[in-house]
Amino acid sequence: MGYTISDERRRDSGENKPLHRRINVLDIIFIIVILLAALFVASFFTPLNIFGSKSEQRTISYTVEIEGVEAGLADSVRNGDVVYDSVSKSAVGVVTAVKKSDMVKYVYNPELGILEAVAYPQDNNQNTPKTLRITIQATADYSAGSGYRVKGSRISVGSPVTLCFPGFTGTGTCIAVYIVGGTEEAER
Amino acid sequence: MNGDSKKESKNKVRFNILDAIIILVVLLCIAGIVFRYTLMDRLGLREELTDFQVTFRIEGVNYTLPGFLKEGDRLYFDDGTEVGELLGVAKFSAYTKQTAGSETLIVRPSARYITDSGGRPVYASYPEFTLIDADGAFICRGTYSSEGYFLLDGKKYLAPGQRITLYTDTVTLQMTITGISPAQ
Repeated sequence: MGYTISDERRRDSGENKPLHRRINVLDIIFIIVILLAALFVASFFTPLNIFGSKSEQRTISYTVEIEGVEAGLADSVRNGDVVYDSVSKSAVGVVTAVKKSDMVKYVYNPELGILEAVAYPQDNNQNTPKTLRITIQATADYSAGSGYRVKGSRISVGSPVTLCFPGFTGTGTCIAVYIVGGTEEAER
Repeated sequence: MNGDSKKESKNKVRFNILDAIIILVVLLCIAGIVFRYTLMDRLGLREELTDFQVTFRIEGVNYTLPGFLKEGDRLYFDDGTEVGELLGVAKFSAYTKQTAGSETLIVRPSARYITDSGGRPVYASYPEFTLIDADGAFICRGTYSSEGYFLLDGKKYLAPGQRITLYTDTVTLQMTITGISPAQ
């Protein structure tokens, strides 16, 4: 191992040492050690976290508020419906609660000097846009600094979330995140 | 005799490209370590870091948001770099948890300038349990550069008026920095 045909010929002719050095196991180990050292040094200068904590899986329950949903579409979302990932089309979670309410617009009340909620009037088809609050239970990857991620998307209060159902898709804002079975979040 | 010495010189280990690469990588590693511990100080990139209190404002967020924050929550940038820790309201204001409306934020109904029916601008608040504005603070490590600007962790520029997005494990905070002062 490590010798070329020309080395064999040279050995037959009485020359013991090979003409060319070949990469051997020691070289490879040496290179690996140097690369690890370089990565370790790089970790001081970049957010790269080589020796950081691994992610773990946790079950979470999160609520998304979607405004301006047509009444017919709002009715199509039900408990037990599966939520799909828009990219991979794989299931990301299951709907555990749906709350529907009339969508409101905040208008200025000059007498009270505040903004007050006014429901949208019905259109000719007796439809009013709805506000949907959909609660989903899903398995998320958790790691410190990265938070809770479902299929790679961060789920956190205040962030936009897109939900995909077979007959409806909508983007809303996450307004609650709880760890299922966790006492810390449930106490809040 | 002459032939033997020629053979010996031929049998010597030759310096090849792989050796050059290995030596280069080793030199780069050494240079990196030297830069990390020596040159950064000389360039003023790693001046003495101390604790600073950064105050911020968030506007027009859902009223449920403060309930998901607690004192000591760690704040991160999107890439996972740690920024600091959220302070309790009593640490940066005269408010208590009860009077502030939250453990970490001083909460009030969201308000903004709108135009009334006569076309005049008026300042009006949203009803309760809709949208809120809030003030908060976090503690972080940082330093002032020789030019006088604040560097978070000695690296990232931060100044009042700047809009940044920070994350806790469960909350996204799109905030405007309102003040930076040495921690008490």
